[in-house]
Amino acid sequence: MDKPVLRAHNVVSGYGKLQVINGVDLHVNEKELLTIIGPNGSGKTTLIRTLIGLVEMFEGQVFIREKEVSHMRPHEIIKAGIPLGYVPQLANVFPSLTIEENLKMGLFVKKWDEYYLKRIEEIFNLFPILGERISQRASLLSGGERQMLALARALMPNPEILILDEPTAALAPNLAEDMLQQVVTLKKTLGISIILVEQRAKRSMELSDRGIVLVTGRVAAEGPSNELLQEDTIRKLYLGVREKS
Amino acid sequence: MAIVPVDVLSHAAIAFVYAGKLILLTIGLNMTYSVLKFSNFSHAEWVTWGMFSSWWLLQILAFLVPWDAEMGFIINNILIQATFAFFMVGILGILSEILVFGRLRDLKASARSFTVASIGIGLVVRNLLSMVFGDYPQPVSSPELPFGLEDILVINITLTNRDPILGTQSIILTSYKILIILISIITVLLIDYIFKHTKFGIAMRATSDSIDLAQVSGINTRQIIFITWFIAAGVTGFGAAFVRATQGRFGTMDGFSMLLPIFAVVILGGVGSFRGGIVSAFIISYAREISAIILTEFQKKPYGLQYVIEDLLGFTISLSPGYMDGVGFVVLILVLLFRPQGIFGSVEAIRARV
Ligand SMILES: Nc1ncnc2c1ncn2[C@@H]1O[C@H](COP(=O)(O)OP(=O)(O)OP(=O)(O)O)[C@@H](O)[C@H]1O
Ligand SMILES: [Mg+2]
Repeated sequence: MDKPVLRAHNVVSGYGKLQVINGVDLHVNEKELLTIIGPNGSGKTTLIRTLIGLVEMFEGQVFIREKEVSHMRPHEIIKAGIPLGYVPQLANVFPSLTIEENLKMGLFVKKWDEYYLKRIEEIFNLFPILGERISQRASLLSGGERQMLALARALMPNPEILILDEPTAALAPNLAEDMLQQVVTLKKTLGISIILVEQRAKRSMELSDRGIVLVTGRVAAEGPSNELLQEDTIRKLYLGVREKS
Repeated sequence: MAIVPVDVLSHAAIAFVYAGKLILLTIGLNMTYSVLKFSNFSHAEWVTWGMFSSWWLLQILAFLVPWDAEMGFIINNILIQATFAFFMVGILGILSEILVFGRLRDLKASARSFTVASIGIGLVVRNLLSMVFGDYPQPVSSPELPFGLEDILVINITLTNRDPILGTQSIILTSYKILIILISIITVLLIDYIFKHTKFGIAMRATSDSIDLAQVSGINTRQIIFITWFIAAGVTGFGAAFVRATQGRFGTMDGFSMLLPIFAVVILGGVGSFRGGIVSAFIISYAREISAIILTEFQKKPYGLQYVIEDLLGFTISLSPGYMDGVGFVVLILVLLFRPQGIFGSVEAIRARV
């Protein structure tokens, strides 16, 4: 097995006194798409926010590329040059910044003018729509375009691992499918690892390599996606597949 | 009597200077409003504290160290006073973040809580100043201007003197009044440039949009917030030192009495738009001055509107020029009815609350 790009041991975290994540082990391998599914409020968002330091971790350890990042604040992780891209579930762009400024924010800790020129062509190839509206404010974009901008911003620093929190949440069904396909394409063409949190559990599981089912802050099931897709209880409870009678 | 009964030019000059003061004192409020997203009512006391620290605190400090002619020269220099006030008020801004606002932010308090807390801070500071310095405005001298600017920067034009048609039309502007305009516009352009075009400015705007997203972009948001407080408060103190220099006396209510016009300027110009503040400061200031002229005319015997009404209706409605501040707000309301984001504001900035 390859060395994992990100691994976390016994993560316990939450908000103040409220413990939401109750001891989770997790890893993502190189060039792997890991999907995290689970019911609303099961702690998916909290878990990935803990990994990058946005939520306080009470116990446990997190390593990204063999470097321990436990208890580091997010800006410290980024400043340490850890190749990470994150797209949050809500508020995924800077609305009052222009598209160009949003993209530059992905390079904040670097000499951004220089890097921007290097990266922008590839980004515009992936997301042509952004190139046409470069000096507009992000607040003027539609939900789908925002999602693209968010993804583009996260990709600007050329990350090795991308963490996406429900990228299809605000999208119409056909756009959601496009987005999921886009994620798979990114994984293949850029050769990066992706952690994907998704409500469209079945579809995203079909497209991913491995899956985790999170229930009340614990890992209820874990394994290669095709295996999870076969298991009856998981199909019934978490993938929303109705059995034919 | 002349056909033009009012010295229009001198009124225009007064409004011009008042606009300069408003511009200067508005920048800091616009910054806190747009970056920290709440109405900071303790801004009034930033102004007051700026005046007091630029004058009294510096005098006291100079008194404590061995006095000589050199020292007197230094502390009477406006640039020294303004810089000193910049740091003193900047420190007040940082203190309020450490003692109050930072804690509220950790508790995820609403913007309303921030606003109410700022009213509290303002009250505390104002009353502390009253305790120490007393309530009544005290006369002080104007500081010196370096480079002999005092003599260069004077406008004294008498266009007409008791002319049968134009009456008296004259402008007298002394050095500080001219300087206020210059400094205010330079400061606005500088802050506007920092905000729009520097990495630091973009980091400030990013932090104001989303603290989480700014952090995962590598911004130390805590640091940005501290610096925002320091600069916003500092610029206000800097401005207050200059405003102080234009007036012969000052007291603990000076900042508070300007708070509403200052807010009006920010809101009219558009939250987050520093250049918009220049335009709106002139609009508010001239609306105020024109209404003062008209109201004064209304009070003139025997044909002023006030007396006409009195004759017709038999009771008195006072039309005092003291209402001029209210007129600024009428303008504000009228504009906001058509452009709720202010003249130059962007739509998303009105999401800044309270
Ligand atoms: N900032 C917060 N402060 C306190 N509690 C929170 C906070 N954010 C989330 N929670 C709580 O933590 C629990 C897990 O929330 P979380 O957002 O991680 O779930 P989720 O699995 O991502 O749900 P969804 O599928 O709806 O996005 C919920 O009970 C929620 O109420
Ligand atoms: Mg979530």
